[in-house]
Amino acid sequence: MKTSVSRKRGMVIVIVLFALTSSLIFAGFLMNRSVKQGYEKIITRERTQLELLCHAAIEIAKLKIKAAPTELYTAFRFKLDEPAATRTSALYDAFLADLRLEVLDPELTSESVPMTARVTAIERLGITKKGTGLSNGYVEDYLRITASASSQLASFSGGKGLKNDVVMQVTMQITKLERQ
Amino acid sequence: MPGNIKAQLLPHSKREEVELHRATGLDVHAGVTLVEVIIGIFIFSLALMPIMGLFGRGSMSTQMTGDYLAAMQTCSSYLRALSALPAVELPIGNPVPLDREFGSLVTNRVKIPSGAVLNATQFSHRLQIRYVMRDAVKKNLWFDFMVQPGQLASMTVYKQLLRLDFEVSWRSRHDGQTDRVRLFTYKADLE
Repeated sequence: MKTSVSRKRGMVIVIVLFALTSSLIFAGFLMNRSVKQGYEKIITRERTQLELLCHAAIEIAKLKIKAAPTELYTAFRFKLDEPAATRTSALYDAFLADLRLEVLDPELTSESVPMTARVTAIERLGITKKGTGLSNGYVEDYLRITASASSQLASFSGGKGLKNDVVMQVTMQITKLERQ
Repeated sequence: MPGNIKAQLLPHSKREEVELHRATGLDVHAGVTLVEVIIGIFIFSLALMPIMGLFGRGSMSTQMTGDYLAAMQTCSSYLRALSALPAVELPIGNPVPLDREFGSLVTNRVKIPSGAVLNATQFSHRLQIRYVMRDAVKKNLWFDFMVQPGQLASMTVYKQLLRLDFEVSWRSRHDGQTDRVRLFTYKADLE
């Protein structure tokens, strides 16, 4: 009777199957990780682009402030300093209205991934320093610019979509001549 | 003592082996035959081929991600370096000739090559700089604001806003196709 041989026969198959299953699980893990890396690189690219757009929005705000400083301070006055009866934020809102990249550069809307970038706020910090060394009447003032950018990837990770938002703030110093 | 127990269990003669076989049914010489091992190796190698393919694909994907991130980093760093220069030192062009230095100050200068080799991958660079125009005929840029409640006005800032597009392209290791990463930003002339 050779019953003992049949007990051990087939052990190799079991061992081989075990080794293959282990390898398959490990390979699946590696594949899953590489797929996630693929998503990660797209997310990183989007965020880098949005950071650049936030910088750009702040740059454009500086350009507008440089071009129309009186209008900005008039807007601040009407929004914050006027008596309640004449107080309005219409001037401030109008100042911010076109500080949007998609308005200033219509070609932005033709990008493959829809994205927007805008200046959401320009705040007067209320820190004013007189005596700048330039001459009488010049004061240093500080403004805080807040910009935000967002993008929407429609088809991402099984059609779930991906929305990215980046917000950036910068405080800038402005030297202005105050009317006596 | 364990050594003694083991010694007692091991057969010492042919007769003892036969007795042990009759008593327990175990064949002390039974094991894995050469045929079984060969069949096992054959099955293992058959199944291992696609699994190794998965390993290789994962490795390839990692390399491709590395190339993509290197290209993106190149775009980002050159765009940031160019943004730090005065706008007047940025030449308009599509494409802007590369392999030269941008910026006149020694302390603020950037050299952009037309290509680079990173991790055995050849990357090509392309830079485009243009004025941003707000209108459909692409001739002007202006800002709107209110000078008094209800009184709209605008001011032209013609040729004071630039758009910088930086593109890096390379040949994919996966399918040999050309892959591209393009990032862009805007630079205002604040001088």
